[in-house]
Amino acid sequence: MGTYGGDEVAALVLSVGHTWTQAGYGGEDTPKSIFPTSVGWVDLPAEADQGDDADNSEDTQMQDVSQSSPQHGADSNNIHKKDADGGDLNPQPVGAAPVPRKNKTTKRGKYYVGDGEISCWRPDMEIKSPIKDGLIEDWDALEQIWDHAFLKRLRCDPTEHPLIITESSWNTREIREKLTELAFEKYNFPAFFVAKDAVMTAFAAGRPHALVVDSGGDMTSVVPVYDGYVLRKGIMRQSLGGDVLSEQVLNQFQSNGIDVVPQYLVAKKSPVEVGQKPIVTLRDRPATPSFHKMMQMRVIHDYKESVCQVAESTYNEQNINSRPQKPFELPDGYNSNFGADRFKVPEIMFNPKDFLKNPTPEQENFVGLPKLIFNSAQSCDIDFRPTLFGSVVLTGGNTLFPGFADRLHWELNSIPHSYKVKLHAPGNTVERKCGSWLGGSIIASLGTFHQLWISRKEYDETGSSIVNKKCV
Amino acid sequence: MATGNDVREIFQLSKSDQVKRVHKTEKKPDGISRELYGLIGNNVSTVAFNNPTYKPKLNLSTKAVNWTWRPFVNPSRDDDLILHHWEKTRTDPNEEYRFYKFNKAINLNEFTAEEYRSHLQDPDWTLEETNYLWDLCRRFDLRWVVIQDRYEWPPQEVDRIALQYYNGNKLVGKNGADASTESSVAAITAPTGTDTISPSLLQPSAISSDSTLAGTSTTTTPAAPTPTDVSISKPQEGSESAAPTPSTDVVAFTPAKTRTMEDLKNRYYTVNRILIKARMTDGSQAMEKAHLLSSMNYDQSREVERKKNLEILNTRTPEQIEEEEALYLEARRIDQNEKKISRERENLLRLLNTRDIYGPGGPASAGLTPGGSLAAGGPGSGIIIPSNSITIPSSGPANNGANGPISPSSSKPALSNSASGASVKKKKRPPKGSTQAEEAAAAAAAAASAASSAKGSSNNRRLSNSSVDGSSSNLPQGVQVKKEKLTPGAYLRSQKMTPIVSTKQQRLQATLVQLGLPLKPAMPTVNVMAKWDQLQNNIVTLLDLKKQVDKLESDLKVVKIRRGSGSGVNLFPASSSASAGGGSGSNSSSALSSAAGSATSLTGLDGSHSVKREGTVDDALPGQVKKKKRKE
Repeated sequence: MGTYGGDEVAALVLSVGHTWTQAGYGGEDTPKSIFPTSVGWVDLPAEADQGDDADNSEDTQMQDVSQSSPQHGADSNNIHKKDADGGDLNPQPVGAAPVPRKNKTTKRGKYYVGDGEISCWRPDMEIKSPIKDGLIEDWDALEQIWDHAFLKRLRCDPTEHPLIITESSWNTREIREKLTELAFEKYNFPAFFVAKDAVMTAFAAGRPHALVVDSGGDMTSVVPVYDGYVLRKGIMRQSLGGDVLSEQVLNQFQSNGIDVVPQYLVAKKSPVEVGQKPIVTLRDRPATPSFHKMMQMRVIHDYKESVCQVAESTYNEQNINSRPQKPFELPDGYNSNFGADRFKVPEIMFNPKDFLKNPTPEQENFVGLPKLIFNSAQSCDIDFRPTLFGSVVLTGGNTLFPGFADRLHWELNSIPHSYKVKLHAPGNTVERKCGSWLGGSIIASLGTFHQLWISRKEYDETGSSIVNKKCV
Repeated sequence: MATGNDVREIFQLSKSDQVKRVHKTEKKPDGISRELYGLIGNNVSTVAFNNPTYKPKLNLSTKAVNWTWRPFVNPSRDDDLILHHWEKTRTDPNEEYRFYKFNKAINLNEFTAEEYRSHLQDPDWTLEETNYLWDLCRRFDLRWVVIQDRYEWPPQEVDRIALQYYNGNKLVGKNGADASTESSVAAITAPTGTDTISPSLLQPSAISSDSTLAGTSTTTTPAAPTPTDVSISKPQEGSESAAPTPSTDVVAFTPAKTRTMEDLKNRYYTVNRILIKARMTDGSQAMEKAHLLSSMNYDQSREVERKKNLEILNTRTPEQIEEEEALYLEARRIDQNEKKISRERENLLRLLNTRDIYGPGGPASAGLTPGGSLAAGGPGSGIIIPSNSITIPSSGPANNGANGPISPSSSKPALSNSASGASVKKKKRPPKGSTQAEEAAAAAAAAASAASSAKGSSNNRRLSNSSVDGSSSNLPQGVQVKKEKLTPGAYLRSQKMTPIVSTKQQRLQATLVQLGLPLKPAMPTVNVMAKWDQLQNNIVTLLDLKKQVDKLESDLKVVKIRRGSGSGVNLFPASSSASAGGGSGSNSSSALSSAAGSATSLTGLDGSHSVKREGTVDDALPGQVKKKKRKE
């Protein structure tokens, strides 16, 4: 082990992305736990909340999932209870060190975190993601996610493990300082580090210099990495990601007069012929629009994963039509074969001008991914450009369309320049989806890395601003 | 032969049991050759090897290694952060951390403020900024790409960049950048406005200007809200409290200096060079100093130029690249064809020359031409008009040489003089390409010009040439006096001898025999061989001269025969008489001194002259021989 420079210190690695949160131990090749970043939120009546607060003192937010849920668990299901029981086992680390926390009495309600929790129908549950544009906006929700990850999934004592988290390359000082505060003040981690996700992805690909192309749920970004440092001036991003594509698919369905009915509404269905109206009995389950939307998006996500494809070279209607069609059945039983449609949606990534239907003013400025990559590399020093083009690293779930890497390679080569393009796109789905987590896992288990941790002592001496000095 | 056993017997050792194994080779079966059996049979392998044991056996005797979850301190850290890791129990817990040795920092040449004041002043840089640069260099270990990326002086609010919305097509990004600069302008004006206003009295105009500024900036900058906040809050603050302190936020928003990587590098290396020069004054360190200085060498303008060129190179479109390649191929093709074409032209010229001399039409047309105009046509016209082409080999160098424009008379005698000259040249040198011929001609011309110090008009020169005609220094064209060659490097003395062309070898030997000399000197000492070499050269020169004379005489005969027959055109005799009578006029046609010699042979007087010269050479020869003989 020593020969590889590894030295395990049982660090926790947490990567909170827009869509998925990955948590695990450093040195492992897959996150122990992957769950959606989106959280469910149910407003509680004022009385119940007050009583809850009184019972559980300051730690309500932290522990209400584990301890207080049985008390007002009228709407919670079995899975939840199981989780709650599990959560009861190790409540001390936080309880042992009561930390000064901002009073969050303004937020009265209950969070639901985890795949099983949020996909369970509750009449008043709102679904929200704490992250927008790669920046954390909802800190309460983020705390819930951290709680869920450390206490209920990994079930570890935060005081025993150093923590490394990933952040977007354009994260602000303020957010990083807040994260540092959270790690030290609330969870009492002995050491902490914030790493740029692009750098971590480059690490996972084994490259010190890379042009990291990350296409995720809400955002596509291209970040040049030089020897483990992000080059800020070369960051290119646009909010064209998987969600926009899903939205387009949904519009596609709707324009064809097909209503996408999510699973939670379907009580009973019978098989129908291709293209026929579904024969379905629906449940009467009134839900919030955000919940309904999320469930719809899950269906669309399935559709994208199983049907959609990228044309390997240019989009050629004739060529596309000659390709075999693929069948897909919606939860309500409607099924059809999809031909050209399944190619049109991913094509947006490469040619948003022509394929994005009904764009908003912001979306009109979108450019194709190859152009984005080219612009990013172009904004770097000319001596560095060949290196960048020599290791373009592809990551993010939105790049998993079949043919995506081939197409990108083809496109990058058709832009006039004299560089040799080498595209690194791991074939392993996990590697593509958890690139930044993997990098974090690698770096946290390196012997040479341990001098970079922000320790508790340093934090006490300098304050949260130390993160801007140590994590660059 | 003594076997191992014999040896053992001699030394009275016990018999080894290995012996048995050695002799256990099987017998060769019949019907198979010995060699083949040696390859395939189960003979004793020549290389001894241990059979690997593939089954590791469970070793119960040794205990499993114990590992312990143990705290450790990393000495690379300033603080005493205690982390835990697994280690073998038997290792020393107080051992230094394994990865400590990898903690390396670069050594920067630091400077003090005093040093800065005395040596490192630069109008474009301040001490603070240089220090900032040094900080970055240390922090990023001289990774210039990163340093340039993070360089923001004066230190800016980093979040501005983070919040700036970069978009792929730079549209939004540009807007953001514009907005930020605008807002920074607003931020700058805001404090100055408040400064000028007295705290108690707020002029409405100032407020309005501020508010408009704030208004514009709010509309344009959603990205950077802080400066607008400041500019809005400023007047209020001023009106309420008596001490409007310009906040540090505003100061931080002054527009950043944009420094290119070359600027930064240049500063770094310049400072380093100055520091080295200033510090290493000791003479004993000169070597080291020079080495350090050379390692700190940096040429900014060259670097900028290089990157610019690289940029151009990289932004070529495929069409441009294609075009470039096509042009290159074309150029190469032309280059290759040029040789072929010139060779063909050479052949053509030779053909034409012979026709000119012996053919009936050629000279007539040459005589008919009013010369100057044709000659002025240059070499190109020479190719088209066959008769005029004769002048090319001779007039080419005339143009090249310092003889000025060709005089009208130059073309008239071309037929006889230069034609013969050219033909002589051709005979002497088998066609090796025009360039060589031209070179030779040019060399001859140069020699001629060197000989005649007066560089006047071609006529004058010709006159002077003809006057010095008899002197031995002026040899006819095609006759070269071999000069001593200087070979670089170590060489054999025999190489010093001028090589004689094999075609001339025979005649040379014949001459030697005629002179009653041996083919090789009996005693080849330095002096003897030097003389011998000289003699050989002289003989070659003599033979060349003689050949030329013969040639001219035959030419003359032809002309005479023609004139005698009287079948020529009217003008032809005139031209020939002109050439025959006025030797000077005819000679002026070519700048070659050789022509002078050949032309003189036309006139009786000059003919005797040449004969006389031959005589002189001949006279010279016996003298040398005599000398040689004496030496021998």
